[in-house]
Amino acid sequence: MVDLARSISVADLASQADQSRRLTLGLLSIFAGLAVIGSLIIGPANVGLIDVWNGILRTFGLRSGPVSGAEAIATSIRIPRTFLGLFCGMALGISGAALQGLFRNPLVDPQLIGVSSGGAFGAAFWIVFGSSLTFIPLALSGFMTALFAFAGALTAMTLVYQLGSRRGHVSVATMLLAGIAMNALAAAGLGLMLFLGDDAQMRAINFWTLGSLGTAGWAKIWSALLIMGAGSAWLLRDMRALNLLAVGEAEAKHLGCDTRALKRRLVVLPALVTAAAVSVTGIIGFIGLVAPHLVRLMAGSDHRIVMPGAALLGAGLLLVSDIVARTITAPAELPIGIVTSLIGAPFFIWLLSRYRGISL
Amino acid sequence: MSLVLNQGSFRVADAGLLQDVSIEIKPGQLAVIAGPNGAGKSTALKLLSGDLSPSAGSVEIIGRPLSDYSSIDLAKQRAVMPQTAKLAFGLKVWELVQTGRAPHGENDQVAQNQVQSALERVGAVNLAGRDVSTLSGGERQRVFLAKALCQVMDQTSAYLLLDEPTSALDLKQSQRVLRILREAADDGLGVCVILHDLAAAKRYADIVHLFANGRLHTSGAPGMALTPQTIADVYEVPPDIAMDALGAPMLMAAE
Repeated sequence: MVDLARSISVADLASQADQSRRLTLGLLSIFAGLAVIGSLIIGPANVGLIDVWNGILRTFGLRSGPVSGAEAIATSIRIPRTFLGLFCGMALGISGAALQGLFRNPLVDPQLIGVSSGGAFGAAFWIVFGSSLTFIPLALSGFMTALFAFAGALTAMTLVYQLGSRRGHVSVATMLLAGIAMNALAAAGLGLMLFLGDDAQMRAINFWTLGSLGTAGWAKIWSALLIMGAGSAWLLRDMRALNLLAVGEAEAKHLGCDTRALKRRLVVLPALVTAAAVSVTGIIGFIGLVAPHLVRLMAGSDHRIVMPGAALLGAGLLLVSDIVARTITAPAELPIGIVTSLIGAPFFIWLLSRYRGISL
Repeated sequence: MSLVLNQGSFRVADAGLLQDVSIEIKPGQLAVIAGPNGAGKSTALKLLSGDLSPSAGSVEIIGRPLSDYSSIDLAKQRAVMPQTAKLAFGLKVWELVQTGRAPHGENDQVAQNQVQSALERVGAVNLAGRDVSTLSGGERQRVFLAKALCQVMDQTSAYLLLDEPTSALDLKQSQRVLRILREAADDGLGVCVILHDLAAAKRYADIVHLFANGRLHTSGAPGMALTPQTIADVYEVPPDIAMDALGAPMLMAAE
C-alpha cells in the first residue's frame, strides 16, 4: 500500500490531464466542425458542399459570373448565418465560462443574471428613440444598436455584480435574485418600448426577445463578428488568472494576480460580447450555462480547457439549435431562443437539483 | 533580512483595530501570534501580508516597503494560508497546489517538481489525484499548506503567514500541521502563525507575540511570554484558573 502511494507522481497526473484535455478539445473541434458543415448544407433549400465552396469564393471576390440558385442561397444566407452562429455560440460559451469564474459559481449565465435582457432593452431603446437622437452622425448609426445593447448589458452586469458581491464574497442567492430583478426591469422597459413604438418597431423588438440568426447578412453582422471575436480572444488570455480566482479572490491576490483589473475585465468583456451577440441575434439563453458545464464534466475545471472548450461547444450547440430551429417547422422558422431554452431550462433545473445540498 | 511591521497602526473609521505594533518575522523562525478574540491578531497578519495597508507605520520585507514590490514579486516572497478557503469548482489536489507556482512563470515541468516536493513535505503525495472536495479536514489543511509552501519554499528570505491553520483540526492533525510548520522554519522560511492553542505555541514557537486590545502586550521566547501572569492579563482570567484550564504539565513540557 505504501509503495502504491509513493508511486503517484504529479508529472504523471499532469500528463494524463493534458491528454484528456487534448482529447476533449479534439472531440469538441470535430463537433463544432460538423455543426458548421451541417449548418451550411441543411435547410429547407438543397445546398451542396460545392455550392458552399463556390459561395465562399464568391464572398471573397474570387469568383464571378452567373450564380445558381443554390449557390446564391449559400452565399447570401447560409454562409453569413453560419459565421454568425459560430461567433455567437463561441462568445456566449466563453462569456458564460468567464462569468461563472467571476462569480465563482457554476449557476451563472448571461441571460439568467439579466445581462442579455439588459442588452435587449438597450437595443430596443435605440430602435424606438434612435431616430430622434439626431446629434448622432448617420455614419455611426450601424454601430448604435450594438452600442446601446452594450450600455444596457453593462449596466445590468455591473448592478448585479455590485448587489451580489460583498468584498469579493459572492452571495449566489442575492446574485440570482438580482438577476430576476434585472430581467423584470428589462422586461418592463421592453414592454414600454413596445407600447411607444410603431408597428415596425414592435416587430423588431419582439424579435429581440426571442432570438434568431435569421437576419444574418454581412452588412448587418460584420461589426458584431469583430467585437465578438476580439472580446472572446481577450477573455481567453485570462484563463490562468481564472484558475487562481477559483481558489478565492484573496488567494488570487496573494499569488500576485491583479484581481481588481481582472474583475473589471470579467465584468466588461462578457457584457461586451454578449451585447454584440444580442444586437444581431436577440436573446439566446442558456448556451453560456450549458457549454462550460458540459466541458467541466468532460475534462475537469481547469479554465485552460473550460474556456476554449466552452467556445467550441457553445458554437456547436448554437449551430445545431439553429439547424433545428429552421428545419423543424420549415418553411416557417422557430425562434432559436425557444430551442436553446427548451434544452437549457431543464438542464438548469437538473443543475439546481444537483447543487441543492450545497448552501448557496 | 526579515519581514517587519514597524510601529504599525490600523484604524477603521473611529475605531483603532491595531495601535503601534512592531513585529519582526525572521527567516528560520516560527513566530506565533496569540491573544483573545478581537485583539488585533488577524489585522496584524493582514498588515504583514499586504492585504491591508497600515494607517501609520510601515511594513517591510528585506528593508523595502511592501508597496515597493510588484504584486508578483511580493507573491514570490510571501505566501498566505487563509483560515478557510472555498473552492469554486472541483479541483484536483495537484492542480490546487500547482496554483502556488503561478507567480514564478516557469514551465510546467519545473512547477510539477515543486508540487511533488511540496506534497512530500506535508505527507500528501498519495492524495495528489484526489478531488479537493473529497478530503477530510486534516487532509485539506495539509494540502492548502502544500500550496502555500510550494509558492515560496525555493526562495531565500521568504515568509509564510497563516491564520489559525489548526482551528478546525483534532489534536493529532493539528500537531501534524504544526510539525510541518516547524520543519519549514528549520529549513529557513520565516513562519508567522496565529494560534489559540497556547500549549502548542509554547512547544513549537521560537517567539510568541501576545496581543491584547489592539496592542502588543508581550513579545519573547515562549517561556518568557507565556507566563501565568501574562496569560491572566491578556485573557482576563485569574491566574490560577488560567493555569488550571491550560494544564500546567502541557504548558511546561519540553519536546
